[in-house]
Amino acid sequence: MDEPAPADPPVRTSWRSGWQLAVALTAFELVLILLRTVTGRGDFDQAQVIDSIGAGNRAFGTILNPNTATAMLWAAATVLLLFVAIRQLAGDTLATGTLVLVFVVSPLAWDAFRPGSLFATTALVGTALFVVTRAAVTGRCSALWLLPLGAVAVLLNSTHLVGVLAMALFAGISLLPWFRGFPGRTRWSALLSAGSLMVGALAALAIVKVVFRGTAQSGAEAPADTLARLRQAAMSLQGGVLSLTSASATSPDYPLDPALTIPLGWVCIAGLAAATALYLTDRRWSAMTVALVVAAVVAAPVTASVLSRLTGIHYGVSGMATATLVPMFLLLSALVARNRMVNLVIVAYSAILAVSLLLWSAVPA
Amino acid sequence: MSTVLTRTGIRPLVDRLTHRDGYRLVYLTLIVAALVMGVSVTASHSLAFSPFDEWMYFDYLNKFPTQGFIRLGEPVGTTAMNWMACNGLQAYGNPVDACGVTPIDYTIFPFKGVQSAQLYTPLYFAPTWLVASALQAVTGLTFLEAARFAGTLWLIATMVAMTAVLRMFKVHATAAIAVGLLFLATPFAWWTYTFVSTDAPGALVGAVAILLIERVIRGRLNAWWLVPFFVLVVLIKAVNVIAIGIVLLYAVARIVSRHHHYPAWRRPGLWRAALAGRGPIAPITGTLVAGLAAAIAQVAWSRFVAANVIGLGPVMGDERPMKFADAVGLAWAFIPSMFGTGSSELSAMSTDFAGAPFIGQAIGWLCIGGVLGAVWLNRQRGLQRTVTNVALVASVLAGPVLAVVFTASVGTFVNLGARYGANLIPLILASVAILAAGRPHRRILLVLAGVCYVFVIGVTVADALTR
Repeated sequence: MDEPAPADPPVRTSWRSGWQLAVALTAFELVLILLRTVTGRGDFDQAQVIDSIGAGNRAFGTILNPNTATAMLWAAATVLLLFVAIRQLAGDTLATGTLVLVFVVSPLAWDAFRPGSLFATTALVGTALFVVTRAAVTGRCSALWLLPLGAVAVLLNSTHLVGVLAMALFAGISLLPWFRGFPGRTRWSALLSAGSLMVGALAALAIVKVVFRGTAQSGAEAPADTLARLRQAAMSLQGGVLSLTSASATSPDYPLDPALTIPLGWVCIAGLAAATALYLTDRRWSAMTVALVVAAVVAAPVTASVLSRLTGIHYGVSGMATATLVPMFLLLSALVARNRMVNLVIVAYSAILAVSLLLWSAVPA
Repeated sequence: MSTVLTRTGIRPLVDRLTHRDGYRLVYLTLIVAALVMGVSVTASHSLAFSPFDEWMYFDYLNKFPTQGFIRLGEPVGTTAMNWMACNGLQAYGNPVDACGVTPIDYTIFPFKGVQSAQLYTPLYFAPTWLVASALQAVTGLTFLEAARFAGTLWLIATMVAMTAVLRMFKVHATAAIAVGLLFLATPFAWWTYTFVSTDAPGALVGAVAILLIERVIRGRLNAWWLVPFFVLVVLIKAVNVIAIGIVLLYAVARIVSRHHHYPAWRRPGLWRAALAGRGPIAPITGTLVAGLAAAIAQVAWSRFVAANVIGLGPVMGDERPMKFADAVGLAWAFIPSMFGTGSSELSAMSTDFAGAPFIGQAIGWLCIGGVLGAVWLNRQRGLQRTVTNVALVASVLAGPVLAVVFTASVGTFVNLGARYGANLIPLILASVAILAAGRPHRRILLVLAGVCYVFVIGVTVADALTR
């Protein structure tokens, strides 16, 4: 019988390693945003998005993301942080470039970094939550940092609750004996991490509720059947979270044919599956893997339910609303992207999409 | 009672069933599971036709004993027309309101009541008719119900062949049971093996093809046996040509991995051995010749059909020129969509599938994760590595190649259903099982598969009881 080879530990590298590639990918994203602004591609219907997202974001999201410059700022911060975080886990420039490029050309990034998009902070928040929570749980930083992070995440966009819940789940699972593998402060740091995230998120939700109380009720329709609402939420989740790039779930105006981007979503699914295969019994990553697998399935319905209960509004959980999890899937994929040939194929494929997007954006509307 | 049971109780029986690699238990479990699924789900169906051309196939079965095959332009027979008028289609309801109306107005029926199964040889319908006739005589079921139960036999045969493939790939017994149950819970199995469907031999053909080529590679079978096999399966359904492509890829990958220290093409007497159906390159030459023979056979059948025309063929209405995005879209269709994810064809039908879309979606994700995840992780070695690599490459290439061949031969593009990739199922499921090699993984997979299996059967039966 072919015995599987033993798992290689992830290689830690300097955060400066591969910085040229990071700068190039960031520059590409910025050029794309600029081109779209100059040529008038990807006009943004602010009112429609605000209506679809809910009152919590009306108060905060529009203030923080009003124009192109802000979009570029968020884009640069996101791509750079994602690159550094993935680089730390993958230990390989090719794998890092592959995963970041997948994100950059995805409909998710296309939609998030449009001028005025309320989801501009989503991937940044997802990455930060992953990195800081893991550091806190393993005792490498104070778990109290998660208190403001959880609160700010939810205040930036109430749908970031998905990511906060996923990381709280990770911290919670880390408390279980079977998953506890780190020496020293693990139990207390995990407990404190989960608590900080939840307290921060709940405080933010309380603020959202107060803000919402004073705003208009337009579009608020309480669903009659809770089961039907959850079922709908689960359905929308299936189109969005694991299919990171499903154009219909994230960016309806993504210029390329949706059929062309399907494999980008496979990266998340394959990363999650491969990480489960490799790390389910590895004490360093088992809790994170289980948390993200569970989150991929249940986070969106739970979030939809919580937000509906808090605000009385029926939150249809779209692909974008669960996008906080996407950078987490990519970070987990960084641990398993071992096959250079597959990475090269994904890079070639993503590069074709990148060139197509660039050409499309450069032509005036 | 067996000696084992009388002497020492149940434990030795379990030991015997799990002898060596435990595959006796796998065979037993999956055969019983297939039987239970096939019988219970088939018995739960209403008399409405499956939307996957069951109407046409039922008519073919009715006409088989008298005329043998269907001619181009032939109208659907009275029995099938009346059945359609009174019972309609699953998921769609009744397309026409003409139950009991005579004479039959063909213009109000789909395709104006013109048969579309003229491209099929009687090779699928002959055994199905035989089984259906015998079952009808014994049980008193209607002919359609009896014909549907023939699908259970295809399902059992498929499970046996697929289990043999998994055993050959050294998949752990628990993982083999898990992927077997997972397969039984798919929308594909639900629609294919519990209605009359020419897709029923698809997965079986894929599994048997892999078993045969591996025997040829190991020198236990003459490569020329591939010729009659592939001629037969392509004549059963032309889309089984995908199996030839899979086998060719598999043979090349296996030969390269087995002989990379001493390239096969440098060996003396290579071509003479290949002519005799032996030697390191015989699997490739045998497959190529088999493909050629199958193509000739299919062309001969097409000519035969063209020589027996009695009218204009059916107008499907969805023919159009092929676009680049069509071919690319098909590249991603076969792995997940075959199991019910993202396939417009199956999604449209999913209202009447007990487990869809949740079950199909989850299984589709598992298959994507299994195939791409295994290759990306790059952890397997030897035969298992070949299997996962071939599964990925074949799944991605099969759709576009099939679309191009189809468009070139017919002249227009018709959106091919993901079910046409049924030949790939054994390799895809094997990849999932290979990735789930660890003890906790295969146990989790088994629980997940068991839940899906019980859920699908339970909901289907419960739905029938409350109908």
